[in-house]
Amino acid sequence: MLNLIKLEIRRMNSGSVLLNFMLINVGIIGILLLLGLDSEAATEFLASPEDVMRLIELLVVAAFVINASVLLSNLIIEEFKNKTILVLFMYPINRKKLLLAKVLVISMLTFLFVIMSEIIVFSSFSAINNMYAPITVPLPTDLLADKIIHLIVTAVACAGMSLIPLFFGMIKYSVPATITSSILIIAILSSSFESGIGANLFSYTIIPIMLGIIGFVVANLVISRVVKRDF
Amino acid sequence: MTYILRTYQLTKAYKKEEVVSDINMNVRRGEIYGFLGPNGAGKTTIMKMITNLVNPTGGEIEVLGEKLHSTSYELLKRMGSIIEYPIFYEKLSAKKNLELHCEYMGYYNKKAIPEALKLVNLVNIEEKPVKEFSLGMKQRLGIARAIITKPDLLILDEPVNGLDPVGMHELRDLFLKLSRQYGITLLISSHILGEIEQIADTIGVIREGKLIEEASMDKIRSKHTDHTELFVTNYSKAAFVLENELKLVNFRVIEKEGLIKIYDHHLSQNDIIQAMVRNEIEIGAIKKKNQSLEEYFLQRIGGGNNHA
Repeated sequence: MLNLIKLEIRRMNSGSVLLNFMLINVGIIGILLLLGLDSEAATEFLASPEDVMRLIELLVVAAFVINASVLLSNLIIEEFKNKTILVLFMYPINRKKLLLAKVLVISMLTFLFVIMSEIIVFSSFSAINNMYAPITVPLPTDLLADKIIHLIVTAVACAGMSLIPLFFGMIKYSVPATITSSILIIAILSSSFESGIGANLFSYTIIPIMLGIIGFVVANLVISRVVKRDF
Repeated sequence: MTYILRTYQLTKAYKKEEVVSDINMNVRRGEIYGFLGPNGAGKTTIMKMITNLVNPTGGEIEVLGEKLHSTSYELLKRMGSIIEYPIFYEKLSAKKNLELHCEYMGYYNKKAIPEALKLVNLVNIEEKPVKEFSLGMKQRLGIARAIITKPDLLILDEPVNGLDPVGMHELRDLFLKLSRQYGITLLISSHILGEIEQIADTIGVIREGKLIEEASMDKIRSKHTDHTELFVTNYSKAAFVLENELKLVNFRVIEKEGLIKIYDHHLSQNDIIQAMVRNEIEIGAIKKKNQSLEEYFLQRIGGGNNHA
């Protein structure tokens, strides 16, 4: 199994995956810096360090769930579309293991990316804030350590949630369906239904966890269906 | 005689419609088995069942004396194949594709890759991404990939499709070499007889999902020898001349058409014409007839539904 995971990683373009990760982090920091355009207005809805933290989390989760749908397209959907999966299925390897390796790579990467990105973005923004103060709220770095459990739970939920688009993408082996469905999930999750940043579906921890579970169930369903199919 | 691949009543149905029915195939170890049939006859489906891509709905497949299951991974390790057309990770280089193949097959002989590439005559392309390859090159690379692990059984689905005549010739030589020198058994499918006629030891003819003939090429060839057709008005006199003057025994008179078919080969057309002229028999036409294998198989695969 470990060997299969290694082979998956070897086959994907790890350079561009890392580059994407960096660019997404830079982008999120960039968005945060825009808050400094009108720090008074920003302070209105970012009253406490926790609010800033939540905003960062929202952006990171959104970015990496969508990023995961791109990985799903590259590693799974396109393999079926280009029929390269036939080559893999002719190998003396259990089909289930082959697909599980792919899903695990994507889940694990999403998990790691979410954690790393939150740490990178929060610490860089907090450092920038200390120096130039684009927003007036102080951002102590030890806040990150306090929230570490919450962060891990969120990352696990993301690792599962990011697999939901597989269900839509596998219907017709469609890359656009995969990516669009991930954007839809994020849109529903993170749209505020009250004023302020705190009130969206994502802020009820139970919902991302439920979605995370649904994601793993979906992946399991897709795999067991593919294992039985003729090609 | 040992068999490397046998199928027993192998059947595949999609939604109750049988695309492959009751196939009993026998491929001997070391031979080249030509699998002949028109497009859509079920060749690819059978090959996919052998390579574990399609589950049969009935019957059994036996490879190397063992029954093939969807989990017979040890048997799959001993096969190499190209099904439909060669598929690669197009963005990766030829070498990387082959390296990955070896990893997945659990084969770790580093020298095997350059050897296989040399065998199919692909040189200086290792670092080139596969998307830049022509179809002919992909076919060769596909064959290289299939033989890299030195399989016992090589399954090639229409391997010379899309090749120019020179390429076809080269590949035919390669197949012979693989069979004779390396002792690999080859199962090669084709819809064109000419492609496999010269190399196959045994031919299996499939039509509409059924194996309608399986015989060795030698046997088929001996059944379909050339003959001379002689059209004459007075066939009884002509027959008399053939028998008594020319001492021929192997000929047949078809009275209705005024036609005599001569199967003896030691006389030239000229000898026959002279004998007829000497005896004042009017010749309508004389021609060398070659019921080629092509015709024979066309008759068997195409010719029809009327006697199916």
